[in-house]
Amino acid sequence: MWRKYGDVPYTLLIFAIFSLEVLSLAFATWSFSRHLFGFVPYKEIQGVLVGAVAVTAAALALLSGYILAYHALSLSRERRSRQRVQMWTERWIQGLFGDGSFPEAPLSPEAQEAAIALRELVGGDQGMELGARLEEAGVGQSLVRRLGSRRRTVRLDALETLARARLPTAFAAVNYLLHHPQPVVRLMAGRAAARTLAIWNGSARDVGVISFADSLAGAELPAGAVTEVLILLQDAAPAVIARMMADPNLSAPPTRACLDAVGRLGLVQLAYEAGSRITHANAEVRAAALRALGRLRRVPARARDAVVIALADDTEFVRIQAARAAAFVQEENALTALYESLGDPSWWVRRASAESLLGRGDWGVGALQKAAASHPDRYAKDMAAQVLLDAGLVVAGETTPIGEAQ
Amino acid sequence: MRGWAYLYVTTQFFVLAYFAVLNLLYALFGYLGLRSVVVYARESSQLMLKDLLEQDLELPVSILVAAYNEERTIVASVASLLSLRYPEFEVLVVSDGSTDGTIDRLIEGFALVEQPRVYRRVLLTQPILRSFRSLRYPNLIVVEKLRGGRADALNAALNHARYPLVAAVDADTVLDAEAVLRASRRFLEDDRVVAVGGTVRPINGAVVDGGKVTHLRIPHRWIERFQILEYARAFFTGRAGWSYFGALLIISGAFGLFRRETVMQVGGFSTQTVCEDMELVVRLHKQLRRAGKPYRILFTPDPICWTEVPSTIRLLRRQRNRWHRGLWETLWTHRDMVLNPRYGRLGFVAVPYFLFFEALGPIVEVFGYTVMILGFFLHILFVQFALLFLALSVLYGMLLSQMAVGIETLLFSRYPRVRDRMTLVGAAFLEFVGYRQLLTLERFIATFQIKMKRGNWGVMTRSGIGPGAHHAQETSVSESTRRATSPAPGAR
Repeated sequence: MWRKYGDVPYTLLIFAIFSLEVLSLAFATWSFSRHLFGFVPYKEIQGVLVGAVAVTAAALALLSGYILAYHALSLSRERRSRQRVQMWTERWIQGLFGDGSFPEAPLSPEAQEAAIALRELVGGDQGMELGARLEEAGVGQSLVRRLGSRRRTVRLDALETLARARLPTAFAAVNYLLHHPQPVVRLMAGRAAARTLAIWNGSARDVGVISFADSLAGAELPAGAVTEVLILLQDAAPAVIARMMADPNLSAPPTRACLDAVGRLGLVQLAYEAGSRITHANAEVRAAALRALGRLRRVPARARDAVVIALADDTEFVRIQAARAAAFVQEENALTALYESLGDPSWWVRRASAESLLGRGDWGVGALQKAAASHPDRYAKDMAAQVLLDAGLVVAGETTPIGEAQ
Repeated sequence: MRGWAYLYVTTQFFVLAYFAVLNLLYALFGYLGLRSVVVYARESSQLMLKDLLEQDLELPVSILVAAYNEERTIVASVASLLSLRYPEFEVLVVSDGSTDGTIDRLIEGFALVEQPRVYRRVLLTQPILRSFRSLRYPNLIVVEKLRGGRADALNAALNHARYPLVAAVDADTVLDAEAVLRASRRFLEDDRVVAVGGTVRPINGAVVDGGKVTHLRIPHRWIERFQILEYARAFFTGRAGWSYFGALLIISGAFGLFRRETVMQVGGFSTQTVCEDMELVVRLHKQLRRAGKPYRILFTPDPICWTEVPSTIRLLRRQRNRWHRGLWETLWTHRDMVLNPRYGRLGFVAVPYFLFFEALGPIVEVFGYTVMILGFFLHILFVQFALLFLALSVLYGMLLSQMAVGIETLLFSRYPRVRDRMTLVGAAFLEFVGYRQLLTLERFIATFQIKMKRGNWGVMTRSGIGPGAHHAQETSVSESTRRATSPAPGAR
């Protein structure tokens, strides 16, 4: 989307130009105000204005020239770079699937880019082989050196490349950056480390899991960012999440993230852990726990009562998630509670309750039909009818749902 | 006569000082904007977007489309929205009392069937007549309602929206395939974000195929070329700068992403103004500050949406007249924010800036021209001074335009032909020969029409989206719901 070169010179050029402009404008205004009080003759004002016009015209010519030159140069540079990457890609493919002769170190940036792009596409043994070749060529070391750069953009660029290259030798250095003071660096480091850990095998991974889980728990990243990182772990995710959730002092954002990841990745083995958070003091965590159980489509026996009780939670978004999770509680009291929740003051809870009832098979459909016909609450009646209609169980026109207030 | 001359010089000083302060602010925000765009570009990660897409991680989005008599563009536009690269989204089209074949085109194009729908009527709107679902696209919902204006239609769509994020787009908007993905990422990464605005760029002259912009070309008419510059200035420097400063007051009606519940809590879109996009953002700032809630309203430069800009002077004047009235309406509604310490930098910098430089700017400019002409006839005009001052202001304006054009070249989706780039450089010069003065005059006139034309959108004409659309014969559409993409405040 963006060209990542030529921007710094451009910014510096603009800064220089506008600094000059600010000075010339300020000087013109100052001179004119002195003229107003008779300190400076008109001729001098005219001279100042001529100077300001000349400076601005020169700046404009310089800027226009720079833009046109940049445009022309960037076009040819990109064309050349594309051709080189294509050539190197063919060489790497030939090495992997053909004669086994790989490009030798030192690798040019285009050769490196071609190999890393291939690494993203090629899995299995060929992927590992490519990774090993990159390590041999010293790509990992060179990227780790760049992680220590003072410039944030260089560090971020190195992290992005490491996230694509997934080089185990760089894991420790990347993991260390999860303690960096800048959130954007922490996030990129988390992503790069997670992607690397995801393809790791053997006992070394267990050590990586522990250090990564501890670093991520203390990284102070927003919940959404932690969820993203956890999901990138793929097979390594259950071990990392289990380690993080075992910490009794884990703060609310990473707890939410862990619960979200449990649900999204379908980690049934962590259902009990999720169920034990339904009574958490933080409403967001309660909702995340219920959402996870809803996604797992399984509520552990010990958490069933808590789900039913959560249908009466003070917080609307907790009740919504409770209604969704209650679809997977087999006990009759859950069905009764869902029926009652059809009359909840919140539209969203009513909708979730009706959909959960629908998912409960004949009994639930029967309850919905009963509600559509005779529920004492008008809004519950309408919602039951709507959900039946959406499911194709009632022919359109037989019911006339109406717009309703919250 | 000496007294008159002194008064005249004092007036000149006032105009010069106003010009100097205004341009210093432009330079400052231009530089801040450039810096933030460069930092954003450096930190943006294509890999991250790919991961987000593959892992279905984003928050689901409801895309709200208000349509009024859009039979010419609606099918192409909705098809473009349905082809977005996004894990989970719904498209909600509200036909706002259309009297042409908008609904018929939608029924034909997307196999719609009528289906009653229970919805959450939190925001009061004109009555809903019918609801439709598509047999082909489960994520398309169409609602037909009585005419109430764009804001009313968007409020109706908000009532029907199911997802936590809502994107309000124009019915003739074409979004980049990854636009929503790029904007929604900001919500995922920071819980405090309540709204994100993207960049709007003119589609005129571009080749559009299958609801996507495939080739960028400079349009044939100079009036359209000038608007390319205006949009680049407004978005890449103005909005980026204000966002960096934490005081972004406008998110374009053509494309903005909001947290649904927050928008509903502040009362949705206002039906009392013709500039409901700006008014909503100002109200969000105001109410969230009052409530003491931590929040962020951001501009990000690369979720790009494309929109058709006016191609005739008549339409352009009408559009700018409406924008300027909308600006005044918003500032008047929220006048209590001016220099109010409760609103921090918004009250002390952003709102006063919009009042004194954007809203009152045309008055000062026309006053300056008038004084110059008057001085000439009274033989007290320093002709050389006047010409030099004019040259300085024109050159300075060009410099700002070139700076914005320079940012655009860093994008991969830029005008690729050298001839087109040269044309844009030339447009930055020619823009000051009549075009700018004409728009200033229209904004000046609009200042005195606020009460008379309250709520009046005027008539819009369009040529449509799709292959060859811009060569198509234009069809008049009365009182179109098409929304101004409002780059005007801060557009220089």
